[in-house]
Amino acid sequence: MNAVNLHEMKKLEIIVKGEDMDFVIDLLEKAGVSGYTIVHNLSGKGSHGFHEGHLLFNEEDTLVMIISVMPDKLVDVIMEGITPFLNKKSGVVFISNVMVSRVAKFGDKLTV
Amino acid sequence: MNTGRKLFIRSLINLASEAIPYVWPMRTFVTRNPLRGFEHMDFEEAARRAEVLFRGRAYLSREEYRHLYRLGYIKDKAIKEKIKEFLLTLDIRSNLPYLELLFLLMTREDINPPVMNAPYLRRVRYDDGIISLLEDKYMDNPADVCRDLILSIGYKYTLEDVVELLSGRRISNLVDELTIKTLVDFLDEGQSTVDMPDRELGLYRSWRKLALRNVRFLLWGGSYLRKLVESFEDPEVVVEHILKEFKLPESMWEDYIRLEMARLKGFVGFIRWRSQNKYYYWQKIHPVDVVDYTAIRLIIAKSLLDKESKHLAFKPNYLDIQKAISERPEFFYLLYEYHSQQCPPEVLDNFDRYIKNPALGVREYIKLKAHRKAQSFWIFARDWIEKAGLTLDLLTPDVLNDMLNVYENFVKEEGRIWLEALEDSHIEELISSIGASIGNSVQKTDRLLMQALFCIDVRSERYRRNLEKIGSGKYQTFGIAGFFGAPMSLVSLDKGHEEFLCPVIITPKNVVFEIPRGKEMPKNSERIKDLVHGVKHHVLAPFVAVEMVGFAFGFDFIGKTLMPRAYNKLKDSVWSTERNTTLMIDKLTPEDIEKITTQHYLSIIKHVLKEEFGKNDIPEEELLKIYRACLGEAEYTGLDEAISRLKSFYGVERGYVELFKERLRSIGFTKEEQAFLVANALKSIGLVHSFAPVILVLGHGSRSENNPYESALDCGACGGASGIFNAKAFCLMANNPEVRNILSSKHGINIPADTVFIPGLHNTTTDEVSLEDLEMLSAKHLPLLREINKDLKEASEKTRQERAPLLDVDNQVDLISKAYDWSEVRPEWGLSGNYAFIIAGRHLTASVRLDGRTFLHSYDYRLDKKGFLLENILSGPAIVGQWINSEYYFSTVDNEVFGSGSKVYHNVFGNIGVMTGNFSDLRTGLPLQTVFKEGKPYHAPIRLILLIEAPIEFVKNVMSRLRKIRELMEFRWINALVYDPEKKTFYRYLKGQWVEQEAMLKSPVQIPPAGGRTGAQ
Repeated sequence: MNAVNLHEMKKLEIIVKGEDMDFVIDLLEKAGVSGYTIVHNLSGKGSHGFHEGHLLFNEEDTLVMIISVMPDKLVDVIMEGITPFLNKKSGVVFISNVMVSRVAKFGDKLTV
Repeated sequence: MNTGRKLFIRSLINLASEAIPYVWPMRTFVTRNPLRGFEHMDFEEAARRAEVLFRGRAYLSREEYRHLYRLGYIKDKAIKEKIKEFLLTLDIRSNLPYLELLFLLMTREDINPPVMNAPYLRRVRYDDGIISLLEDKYMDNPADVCRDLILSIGYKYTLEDVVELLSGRRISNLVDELTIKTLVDFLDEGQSTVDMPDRELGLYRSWRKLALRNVRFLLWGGSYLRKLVESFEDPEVVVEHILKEFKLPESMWEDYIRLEMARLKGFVGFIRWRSQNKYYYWQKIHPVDVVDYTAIRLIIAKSLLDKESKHLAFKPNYLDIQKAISERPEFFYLLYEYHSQQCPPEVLDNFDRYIKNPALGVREYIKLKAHRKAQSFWIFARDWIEKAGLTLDLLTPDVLNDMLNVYENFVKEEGRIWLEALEDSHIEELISSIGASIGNSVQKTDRLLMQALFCIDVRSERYRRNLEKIGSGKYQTFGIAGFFGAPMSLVSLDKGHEEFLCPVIITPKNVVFEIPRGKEMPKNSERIKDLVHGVKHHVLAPFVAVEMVGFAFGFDFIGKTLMPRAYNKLKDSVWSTERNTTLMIDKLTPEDIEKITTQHYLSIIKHVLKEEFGKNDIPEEELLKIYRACLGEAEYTGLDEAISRLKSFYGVERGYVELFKERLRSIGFTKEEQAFLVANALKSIGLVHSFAPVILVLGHGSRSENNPYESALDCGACGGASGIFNAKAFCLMANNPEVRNILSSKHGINIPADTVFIPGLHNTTTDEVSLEDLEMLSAKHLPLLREINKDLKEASEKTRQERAPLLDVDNQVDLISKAYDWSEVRPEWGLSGNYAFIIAGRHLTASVRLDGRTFLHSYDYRLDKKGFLLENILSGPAIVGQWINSEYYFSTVDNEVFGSGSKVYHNVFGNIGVMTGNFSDLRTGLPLQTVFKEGKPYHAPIRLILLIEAPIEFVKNVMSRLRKIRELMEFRWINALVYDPEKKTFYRYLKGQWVEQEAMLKSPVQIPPAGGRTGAQ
């Protein structure tokens, strides 16, 4: 079997309140990411106490996670853009290294 | 500017905008808390912030609270308790009877507050010693006034405001006017006959093009405006440029932008709402966001300021203003006093002299002003003491000083004191009347004929009480949020686009179509195929098809855009007759989805080939081949250009087709989903056994003519629409045998086979209840239905009798005619008077007369072992209740700022909302006629009192899991009560603790309904 050609990328995992989801998505799109995945209704504990994940009739009050994979350069752009938001609101951003095989799907790092 | 920096500016602007509450288009009026952006802080702190930002009050005036006191809403005892608490916080140095004095001040109408013109109106003997002491007390310090003014820039005042305060040149209004002009043109949704050009470019870019040609802008903004507009293509860049030019430190930008937004909070709220609703038709074709607004507003402000600068004694930027004021405090203090109209009238003639020599003038001025202030406070203090029956001799200089200090502190706290007294009076009344009725068992008979599910809306309470009484045990009623736990997006025949029928805090995931009821009831797939394919026997079908599947799902290049007039004409002619329709609530099969998708795309391909490539009459097999070629599933030669056009411009390619199918998959609910929703709704209200043969599911709506606020009177739980569709959908689900099987096998709910759910509508304007979908009833239900209908009519009459005096009519005919009178400004009182949200079994409230002022959600904690049902009630319906309550609260305490003023001057514009006269901000909140009567508050503004019937430990546990409700409780946006039925005790949440409430009074004193028993006099 031929070795798969892997490329290094960054993965951002952004956890915010449901009501702020549109803001984050807008920011990612304006920054030029090629796609993202949204996980709704997260449960967990943070500095504001425990958050329930199974509310049936309220989406604004639950937590969501937006996951996006992108080239290095975009990370700086997004982090600069999201700074005022994170200074005031609750939310976290995790950045990690990942490898992808089809680099074109995540924005070619040469063109950014 | 690099992308990161642009995004930084966008984030900043978005954050700034969070203080501005959403404004929905008028046709789906949604009540919400106008201070929602401040709910993360304590109510009092939020009130202070709102006062600065919006210039609106968060409490009624003393005079207005006195009116509520006279009506009996506020009890003496509660007022005195609050005064005592307040006095304990002060350092009091005299032994005046402050409790009695303050009580008198609050409740007696003839004690007027100190006003500057009092000395001119009344001749009083002044004691020179005392006046001189008071002069010292009230002497201004120009340096302090100037420092406060500087500190308030960017927090309370914009640069335009400061220029106005120091020069009298009214720039702010002009900035508003020019901004409003732009927004009205841009946001128009088809009302205006002349459209603003280039709107598809977005607000900022289309305005840029227009401003360079528009005489009005060039006239006012001149070359300054032209230069700014020409230089900056991107809104983010121009915002940064201007804020830097204003010499504002970056740390102040967010606050400064927020101030500029708060000036037109109606428009900004609407823009915020629109920009968050990407599927909204007008947003898709004319995109707008708060960044665009900020850029335009700042450009207009900056060019007007630059144009004004030659008339000013300073350069209109932050640093220069700061420097100028600090260097010449006396001079600027005098200007400020003059232009902010704070000076006594007799000095107006001398002002030129003062300003020529400010060092000398200021001394003369502050002495004179202090003298007038001293006189007016003296008159006030004298009055107060005399009316309390005390002798003036008590007022030695020290005592007077102390008394005025107490007064000043009191004024700062007065709103809170009144509000808490008002709330405590209601809480005590609620606890005592419910407490007194506990144990009065609800009348029961063996013959339970009917159960009725009403919306939690406060207007249901009267009807429910009357119906239960008439039925004397044969009827049982329940309260549930009027979307009946079935959030859905409806495509109705007359609207043709998706409408969210659920509380606005959720986005429904299932789409339901309204379809004509066919005689033979074809299978779903047949029906939708008819709609999509455009069958010959129905003239409207192709249009409906385009509308439903096209426009509704975002494929808006055909349908409404291409032929709106023809569509509307046809629609009107066909649907003007009474409609006989049903809802399509079931899912499509995968085969249906495949068929519909293919048909849809074939019709697009056919249309495009004909219109753009002149190819007519292509057989369906060929179209199918082209379609498959577009999807990359087959080769097709000869039409390369057309295929490429179809793929790139019309989205006929695999990705979009998959998306289309995904949307089709969102139509309807699976049987499992239906059973889950029905089970959840029934469990949440405690109805899981002992089903009656007939169960009415009643949505509610209102009927009025010529009323832009009609939807404010409709169902808040249905996103401001009538609840009838949700009721119909719920009944279709609950009556389905397959759903009932799942209810029984999976959810343990066994509904007898002969029990039938019947949807209906409670018209809150006329209190008539009409039942629908009766065709499906079996013959054996008919006699029962006749009996029920007779009693429903009687309940309607009883309810109208109860409501008529409140609307100043003495007979029912007049009350009903209000619904049809186009000149009627108050067809009904809506939810005026609402003050409590009770989550409990009906046994707790059935024998209490709650006067249509409480939301009632049925609930039985014994069915809710883990507390999930309560969680859902508290995070959904209770939050909606709090929004409604807050909207009524703030529309009452400051109708001009948080409400929308008098309906008499309203002018509907752009099909989105109303203005006052022909030029104002987009008005938000409720009109004066909804909350005021004859100039006095009719609605008693009280922060929602939430009462839950469940064991206290259980409630604590559930609350600890819900951030939002916890926040509202801790920050005092709501009052929380618990009735623990096991301990037979009431608890109240006070200062972070659940406090056991005193034993209930034996004979409670009733608080009157909204406006008093016979209406406010």
